[in-house]
Amino acid sequence: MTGSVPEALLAALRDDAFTARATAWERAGAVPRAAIDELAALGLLGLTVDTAHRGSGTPPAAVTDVHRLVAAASPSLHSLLVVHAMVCHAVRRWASAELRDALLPELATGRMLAAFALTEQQAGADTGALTTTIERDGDTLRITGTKRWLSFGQIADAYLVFGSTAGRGSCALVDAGAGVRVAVEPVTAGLRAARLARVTFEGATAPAARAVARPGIGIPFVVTSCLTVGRLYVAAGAVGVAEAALRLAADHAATRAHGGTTLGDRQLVRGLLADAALATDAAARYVRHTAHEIEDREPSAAVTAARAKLLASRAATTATATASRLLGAAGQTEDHPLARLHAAARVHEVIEGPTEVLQDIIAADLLRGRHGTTDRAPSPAAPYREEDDHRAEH
Amino acid sequence: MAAQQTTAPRPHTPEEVTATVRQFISRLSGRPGIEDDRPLISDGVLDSVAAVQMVDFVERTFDVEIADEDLELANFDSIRGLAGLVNRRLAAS
Repeated sequence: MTGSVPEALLAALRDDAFTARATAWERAGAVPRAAIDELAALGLLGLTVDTAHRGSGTPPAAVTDVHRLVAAASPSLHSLLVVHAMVCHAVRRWASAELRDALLPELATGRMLAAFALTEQQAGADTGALTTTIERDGDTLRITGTKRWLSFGQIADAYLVFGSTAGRGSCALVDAGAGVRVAVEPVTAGLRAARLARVTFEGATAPAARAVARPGIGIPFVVTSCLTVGRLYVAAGAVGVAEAALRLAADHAATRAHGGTTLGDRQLVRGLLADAALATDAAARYVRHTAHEIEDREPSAAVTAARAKLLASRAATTATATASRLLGAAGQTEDHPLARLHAAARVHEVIEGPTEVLQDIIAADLLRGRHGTTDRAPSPAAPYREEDDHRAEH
Repeated sequence: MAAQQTTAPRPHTPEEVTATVRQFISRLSGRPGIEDDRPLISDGVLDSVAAVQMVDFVERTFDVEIADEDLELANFDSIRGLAGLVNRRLAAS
């Protein structure tokens, strides 16, 4: 990937008008499809797709800059970027050449909005507990199951559904429409405008050619490599949120009069700002490092991405908490930008693997080889086991 | 980290490929002496993160591209399966 972020897109995202519109979306509780289409026309959804398939072929490190900008203004729109990038990744990396040629241009141009349908009521990171089935019947796939909290699931044209086929973990890209029932999830702080949906597949069908890789490959390979990319981009968004909160905090500290001086002259305040600034900068640098590892296909990238997400979401929590403390009552009103950033930071600690799951992955990597006596190494995100799928089917 | 060495010289003989894969799986799983036929993924020897690391490792180390038709679990579920896949790809290139 040697392309760059389209200039017109960068200009649009840096314009104050974008921030104003994003604020309006959050108030209204929905990013409208028309706004997505407009940004897609500037290349927002094709960043990670190669130029031969009508994307801009932008390297991951440059893509993270866009995620930072978008998340600082609209955490909800950012969640669309993340799920869409994960679906693009699945198709680009794991789908057949025919499927790539057919779908990547649709995804890159935003004609097809795609949601990432992994999470269920009782299963997310624990992919062995998924109950959705993707049955193969000749040239047709039949999908049955319910997915929860899908970002932009309300307006998606297609869903990358994870489940099991004859007891093996699989995934397929399924169009919205017949047999797919979409319900609106309750309003969720931090993702107020993300069009979250509960999507039930009631024997929905798709051509067998829409399967992405074969059963046994969809889980664990496709899902894990998607989550690696997703963790990078959530981390980038969290850095954007942390940077925005830090700006609010520093601006306020520098100007707010307090006992004949400014808030920023107080040592305790300077201590808070220093910690938040360091956490944010460290996360920003680690995110770039992670982007390069992913681009270079380093085998360590999956663990590095887990570290990046943990580090960056914590930086966002630190920075937003600092800003919240310094801004006082003014920053607590529901409509204040800080309230949105604060809620976004909480969401970033949960999506694409909550903090504890990531700690598990990081520690498992550290401990590998030090468990000399156990036959089965303790493993973080529940290794795929056939018996899990059999159990799930009953 | 257990999975970082990616600078092994490019091996050519099937035996060298198997030895390199064996060494990497041993490091990735943290267990020396895994039998060549032992199921790695379906038996939970490798977790899902390690499984993806394995694909990146073979593509980078041997400079082969894993194509769609190679994406069968059998090609990734054991040292023998993976080494066989790499050798077939090397022979075809």
